[in-house]
Amino acid sequence: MSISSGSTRPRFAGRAIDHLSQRARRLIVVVAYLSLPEAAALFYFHAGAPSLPSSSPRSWGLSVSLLEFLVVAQADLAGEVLQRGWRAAIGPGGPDERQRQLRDRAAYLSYRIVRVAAVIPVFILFGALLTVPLNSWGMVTLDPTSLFALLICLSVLCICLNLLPIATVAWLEPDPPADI
Amino acid sequence: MRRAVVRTEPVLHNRLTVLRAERGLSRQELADALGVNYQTIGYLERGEYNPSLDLALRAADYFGLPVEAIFSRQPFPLLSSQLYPARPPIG
Repeated sequence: MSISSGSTRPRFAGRAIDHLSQRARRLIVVVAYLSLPEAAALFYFHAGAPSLPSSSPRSWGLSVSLLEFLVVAQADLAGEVLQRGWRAAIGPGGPDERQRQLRDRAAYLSYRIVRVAAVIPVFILFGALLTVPLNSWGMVTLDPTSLFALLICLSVLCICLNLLPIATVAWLEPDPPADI
Repeated sequence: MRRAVVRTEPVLHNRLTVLRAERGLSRQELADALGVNYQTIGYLERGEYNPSLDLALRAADYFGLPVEAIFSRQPFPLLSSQLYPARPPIG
């Protein structure tokens, strides 16, 4: 006697994104959260640009702004892929009890991660406040473009925080069982 | 190589795979009947997810069996050994 699987496998490449393996989902989570250190690095590149020898502040600012845009796009795109995968997993009927349990566990883990990582925004804020005296000492130039970079940095942080529960689900959810 | 799933809850044994095979049901059909995702049926069959009481009772209703005939905290004996118990030695 054979058992038909009846699984909903992707029929064309466009739907493959809805059925990513756990390894692929974890890779996307890593890509999404890489945007945080990238945004922080860009902020400090932005703030320290004029002090670099033989650099044109204008061209430097433009290129860093473009990179900042790409960093935001990276976080946003990765988040969209993870959201789409979760929506495809739960289907039109909403999450069942196992998926609700997984979602609750992810929310709890996210809370624990945020609780531990709450020091990071504090450090960022501290760093932003520190730039004021550094600016007066001539070590860092705080101008409107640097503030813009800081804003980008914080917006990436917001995207990543907002993404945390769904990223945790993507990280935890094992691959579906192989069909018999 | 696939890593073993780390379990923090007691394992609940079940006969869902056998019952589904007996009735020629796909995971999707059983999932639709029980109102869960088809992947959840797979996790249940592999013992990687313990159902709620409500889901266990729904499965019992669906198969027309007592819930203890489907789910057990002890491993189920083989059906073949129950159907054809070992014959006593002759003589």
